[in-house]
Amino acid sequence: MRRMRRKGQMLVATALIITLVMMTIVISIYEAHVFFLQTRSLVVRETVASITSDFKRATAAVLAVATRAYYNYSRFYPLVSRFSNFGLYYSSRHNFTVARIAAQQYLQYWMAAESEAYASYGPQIKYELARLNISKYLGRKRYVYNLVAGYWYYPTAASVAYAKLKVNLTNAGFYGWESDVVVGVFLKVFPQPVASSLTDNYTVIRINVKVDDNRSYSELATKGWVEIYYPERKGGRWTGKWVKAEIEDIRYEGFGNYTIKFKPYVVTLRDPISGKTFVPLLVVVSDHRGIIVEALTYNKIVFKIAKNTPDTLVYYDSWGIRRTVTKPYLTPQEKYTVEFSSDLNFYWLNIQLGRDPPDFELPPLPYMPIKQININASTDGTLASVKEIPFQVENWTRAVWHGVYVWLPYGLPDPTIDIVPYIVQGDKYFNMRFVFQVPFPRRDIREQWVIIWWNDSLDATIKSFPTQIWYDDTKREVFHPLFGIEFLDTTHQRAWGYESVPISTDPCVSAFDPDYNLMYWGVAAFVVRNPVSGTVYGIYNLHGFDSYIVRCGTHYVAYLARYRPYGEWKIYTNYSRYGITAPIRIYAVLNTTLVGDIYGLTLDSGDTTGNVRSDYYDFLAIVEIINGTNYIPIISYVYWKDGKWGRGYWVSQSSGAASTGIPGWQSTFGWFMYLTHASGWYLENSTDDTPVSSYLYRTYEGYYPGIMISQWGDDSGKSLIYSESAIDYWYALNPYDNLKTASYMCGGTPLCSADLQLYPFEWRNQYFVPRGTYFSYWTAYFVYNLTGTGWLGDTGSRGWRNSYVYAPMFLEKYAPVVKEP
Amino acid sequence: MRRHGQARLIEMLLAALMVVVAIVFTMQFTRPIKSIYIRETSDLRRLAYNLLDNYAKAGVYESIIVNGNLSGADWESQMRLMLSMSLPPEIVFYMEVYEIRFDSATGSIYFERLDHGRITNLSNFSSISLLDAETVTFTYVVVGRPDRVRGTVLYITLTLGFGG
Repeated sequence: MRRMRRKGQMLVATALIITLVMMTIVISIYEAHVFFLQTRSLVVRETVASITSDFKRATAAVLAVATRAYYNYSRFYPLVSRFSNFGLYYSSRHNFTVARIAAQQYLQYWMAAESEAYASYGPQIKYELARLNISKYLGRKRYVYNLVAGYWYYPTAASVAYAKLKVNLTNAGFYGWESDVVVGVFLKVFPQPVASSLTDNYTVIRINVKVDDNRSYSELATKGWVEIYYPERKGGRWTGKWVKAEIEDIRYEGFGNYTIKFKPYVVTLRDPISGKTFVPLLVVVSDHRGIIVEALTYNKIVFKIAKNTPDTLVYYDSWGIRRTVTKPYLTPQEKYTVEFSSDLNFYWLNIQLGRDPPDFELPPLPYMPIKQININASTDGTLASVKEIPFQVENWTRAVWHGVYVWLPYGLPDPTIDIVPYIVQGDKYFNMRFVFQVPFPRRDIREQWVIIWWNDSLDATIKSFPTQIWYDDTKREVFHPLFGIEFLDTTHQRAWGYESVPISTDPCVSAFDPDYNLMYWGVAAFVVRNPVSGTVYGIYNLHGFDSYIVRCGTHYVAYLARYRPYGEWKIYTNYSRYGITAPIRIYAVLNTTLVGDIYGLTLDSGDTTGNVRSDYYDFLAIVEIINGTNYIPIISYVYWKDGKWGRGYWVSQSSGAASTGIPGWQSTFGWFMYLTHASGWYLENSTDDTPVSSYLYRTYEGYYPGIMISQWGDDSGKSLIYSESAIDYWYALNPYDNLKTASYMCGGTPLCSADLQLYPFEWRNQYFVPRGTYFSYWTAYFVYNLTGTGWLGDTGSRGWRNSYVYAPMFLEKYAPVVKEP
Repeated sequence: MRRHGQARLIEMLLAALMVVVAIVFTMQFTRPIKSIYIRETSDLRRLAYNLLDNYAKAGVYESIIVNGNLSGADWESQMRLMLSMSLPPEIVFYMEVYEIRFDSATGSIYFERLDHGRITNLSNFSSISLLDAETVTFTYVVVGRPDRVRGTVLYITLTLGFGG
């Protein structure tokens, strides 16, 4: 028993000793482990937190740069120009892809800096792009998917950056840290004012600002800023310009809501589609980190274009009998090329369009790049048929030209620049025009919806629309499906393909006539060709005065329209920076102070001495080749610097075959007619003795021409349609009251022409044009078919009526109207 | 005898195992034993990070370091004063401030020191040897005003130690 007890004591003692030894070992290991965890967790926690918060700041910084550059590079130049090293130049300020690349490059440098700064922890830092859904806040489906994104110009707007940060601290044995980093500013502008008073001249609106992870932002007034812009009002109308409002009070109401009171009172408008009211305002917000967001209280501009042309037209036939002609039911040719200017006016043929009601006002286009803009229009007059249509943007200037205002285009802007409502520089005024087409494809469609809206994404790209017009610089020719227009001028003096045609300096042979050899010696004109074969249909002379009379043996020969505009066309064909062809129209502008004696130049083989003169008239012309239409408007301005005597005065002269369907230059063909002006004993729109056939008349001359002159053949024809006010003016100007139109028919003469003469050519009579004579006019060169969709189907002597039903399109009194929906 | 010895051996092992299990089990619910040294230095580290982070949130770097460098003001004294006001009196501190610059031509980065070693509450900081001290590093991307310096990356080291 005793022995057994001793053995038990020993065993217990041994067990205790073993236990103590094991415990010591376990506690030592445990303490070492705890020590490691203690030190590691602190390093990891603080370092990772520092890196994460700094990544958030870095992301905020690049978002600030991207949004500031997009909003106004010049204003924030000191900041954004520093990022030009990363490619963010002024020229790329509205290219959010460039801003994104710059941001990514910056973040690469930032990561390198972090790796250096925390090198002792062995950091491995990277970020991954992921998609963040921000639709809930914006109320429309929008995502941040490529680091930075901006959705502006709507009542809800956002600038957001999003990435997943991944960090390893290899020296601390820490791997796999991942953090979603969202930085951004969300702005909501409530479109209806909280209060406003015309008497006290103030408006109060409410906005809501949130940042990052939908956190209410309460520091707008203290650390950030807000700017409110309202439409400038001058001369009783909105000018399209935004003016900064004077903020009188900002009140924070909690949860990111602010009420802002500002001067002045701004009128409330109604959205014609939704029926909701809004006060037209532009609100810009920046948080303390410099992230900018721009919102508008509306997201579209809605109006209607109403045609004003009659369905049935009246004319008087050669017997003086009143006749009517009704438009065909399908009228695809009635397509207006409308210009909406950035200062909120509308133009057609360079005349300002009226409004219905007259006080109908449109809010300004947002302060944003051109590329954001889209235009939709209806096709059958209903909202259901509204779809996107092509458009182009042009630069225009209103210059004082011999004491009168003249609107001139001067190119297509860079579509990435901001919309400029207008700029005034001395006596010059600049704006932009958004050019689009409003079709009226049926007789019963009298109004079409037009909606100008904008893409809210800062990633909006430049739109390129399909078009059937294009320019070949080697031929100096603009191609259209119906014709090619080759511009002759000082840089391109002879029509292509005519290089080997002999030119004679003997005025008594036909090779002398420039209309045969198509050598113009720098005189400005354009040649109309078949667009496929290149066959010359004829030449269009813009203006001409006086005649060159020469004795050839026993008789005299008169060469007409001696002094013609001389100079160089400027042809605007594309958005030059991007090489995108102008989808709606290509236009050419001639602005010259010189005239060329085309016959003197031919006699002297192009010697300009005495043949190119500056003492006649200055001439301005805009020629438009428009996609999808049958007409070429030629808008002209004339100013006489000196009084001159001369034999005959031609305001336009269209030579050549009348029918586009005629393949040959010397082909014989068809008919001629003109409509009379209400002068002398004529009624308005009488056909006088016309139509006449070229088989019966070699030449025909008619008096008191009116709005239209036409030539046609078996299948097609051309018309010259004149602005009515100009014709009225010419009749008032001409003391002899005998304007004349002439058609040198094609019976045995290879040259057909349709002229309108302000002073008729007379062998003996000379006419005097006084110094200071000024007038402007347009000619629509209208090409038509006799049969097919959109045409009456009238042929033979009635073929001209196919053109006549469309002629009112080009008359001032039938110009379309901008209508309030 | 042989059977008795075996039983005792098993008893002994079971007893030892029970004791060890009991102790390990108890250790799961008890705070670890920490030395004074560990507690103090980790507190300094935590204090330093908190301080630098609070300065970041409060825009101290923009208002003192950035504006001082832009205006030529004595920003180091301001920063020293700021740290003195923010830290307990028994803590000694020393701060260095750098700008991390990017050379886009070479793709490299380099550190440009902005301070002159005067952001400290010890006149001879470099010559003394602190036993209980921690140095933390901190980077700060400038996001506040003025506009032209946004995006600048600052690199800050802050050493805190117990005085005396």
